[in-house]
Amino acid sequence: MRVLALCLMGSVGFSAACGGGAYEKSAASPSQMAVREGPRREMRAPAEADRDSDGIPDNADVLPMGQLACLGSGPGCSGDTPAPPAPPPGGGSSSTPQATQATQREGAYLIYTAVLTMAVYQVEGALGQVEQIGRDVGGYLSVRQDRSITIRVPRAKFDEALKKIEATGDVIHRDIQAQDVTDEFLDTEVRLKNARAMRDRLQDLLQKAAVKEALEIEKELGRITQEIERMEGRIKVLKDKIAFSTVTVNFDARAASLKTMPIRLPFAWLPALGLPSLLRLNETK
Amino acid sequence: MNPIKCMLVAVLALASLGTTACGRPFKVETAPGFVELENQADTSDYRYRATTPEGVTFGVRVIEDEERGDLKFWQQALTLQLRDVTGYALLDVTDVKAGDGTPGKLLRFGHDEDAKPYLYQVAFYQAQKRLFLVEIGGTKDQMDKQRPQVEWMLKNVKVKCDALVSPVFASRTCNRW
Repeated sequence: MRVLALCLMGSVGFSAACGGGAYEKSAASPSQMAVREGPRREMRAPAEADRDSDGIPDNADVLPMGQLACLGSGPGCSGDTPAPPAPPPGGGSSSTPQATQATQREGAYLIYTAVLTMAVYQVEGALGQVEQIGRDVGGYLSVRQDRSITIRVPRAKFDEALKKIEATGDVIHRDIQAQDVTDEFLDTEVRLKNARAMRDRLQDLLQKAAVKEALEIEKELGRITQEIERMEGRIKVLKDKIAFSTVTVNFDARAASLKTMPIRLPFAWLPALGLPSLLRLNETK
Repeated sequence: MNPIKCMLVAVLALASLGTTACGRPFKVETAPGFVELENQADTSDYRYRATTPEGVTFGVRVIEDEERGDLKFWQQALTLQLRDVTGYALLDVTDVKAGDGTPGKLLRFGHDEDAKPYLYQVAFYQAQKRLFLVEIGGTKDQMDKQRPQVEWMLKNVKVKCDALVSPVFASRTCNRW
C-alpha cells in the first residue's frame, strides 16, 4: 500500500512538472462547453485548484461567470439553455445555369455571356475538354490561352454547355449575364430601313439632277451609304452575339477571390495551409 | 523488495515518463517507405513530417488552445481558404476517425503546380482543446502509388491518449507511450 501511495504521489508530482495548461479534464461536458466563452486564461492543476478545500476551486476567478453558475445544477444552467439555432446551410457559389432561363423574355434580344472561374487543377486537360464541349454543341473556339479559354456556343445550347463545363471541374465562381439589346437592335433596324429608303430616293434624284446638284447629292449619298454600312455591321454583330453566347473559363481563383471573399478569417495558420509549405522540406539535427 | 528501492525505481520510471510526455500531443506511425524528418517544430509549423524519396509528404500541425468552432466551421473555413482563395479544386469531403476514434473530416484537393497535377489532403480533428491538422501532399502519380501507406498512417494518427497512468497524463500527451 505504501508503495502504491508513493507511486500515485509521484504521478501527481510529475503531472505538475510538465507545465502548461493541459490539466483540465480532456473531455469537458457539452453543457460546460456551450457556456465557455470570453478570454481564456490558463487553469491550474487540479491538485492546486482547491488548496483551501472549501469545495470551490481556487482558480474560480479565471472562469467566466456563465461557467461558474453552471458548476451547480440550478436554473439557468446549461440544461435549461435553449439550443442555439442551426447555422444556415454552407455558402459558396452554387447558383445553377438555369438562372439564364428565368431571364429569357418572349421576343427579347438577349446576349448571354458566362465567365466561370475554375480551380487550378489539371488545367491542360480541362482546356481541351471545354474546347471539345464547345464543338459538341455546335459552337467554336474563340480564344485559348495557358489558363483561360473562350468558346462561343449557340444560344439554345448555352445551358447545356454550361452544365457540361461545370461537370469537368470545380467551379469556384460564376458570373452569368444576359444583356438586353432589344432597344438597340430595333432602333438600329428602323434607322437602317429609313437610311436605305433615303439612299433609294437620292439615287432617283441623282439620275434627274443637273451637274451642280448631282455633286451635292453624291456627297450625301456617300454619307448615307457609310451610315448604312455601319448600321448593317452593328446589326450583324448583334445578331452574332445573340445567336452565339460567349463562355469564358478562367483557371485562376485569385481574381474571383477579390470579389467573393473580401473578408479574411483572422487565423494566422490558415493561409499557411497548402502544398508549398507542406512540401518545402527541411530538418535540423 | 525494499520499499526505498521500490520508491527509487518508481521515481526514475516516472521521471523518464515525464520527459517523453512533454513531446507531441498526438501519436503517429511512420509507414514503410517514409522517413520521419527530425526537429520539425524548430524549422516549420509542423510537429511531425515524414516523406518518401519522391516527395509525398505527411505532416501534422497542432493549433494550440483552439477549441472554438466545430468540424463544420473548420471545414468551411478550410474550404474557403484553399478552394476560393488559393484555387484548389475540392475533390471530395469524407468523415474520418482518428486512430483513437476521434471524429474528423478529410478534405481532398487537387491543384496544378508548374502545370503538374498534385493532390493535397487535409484531415482535421478537435481534441484536447487543440485543433489537429493532418496534411498529405505530393504529385498525383506518387500520391496514387502511396495511397495504402498514406491511408494507413492517417488511420494510425491518435489525437487522444490512452488513459495509461491517469487522465492527467492522458490529457497532456501520448507521444512515444
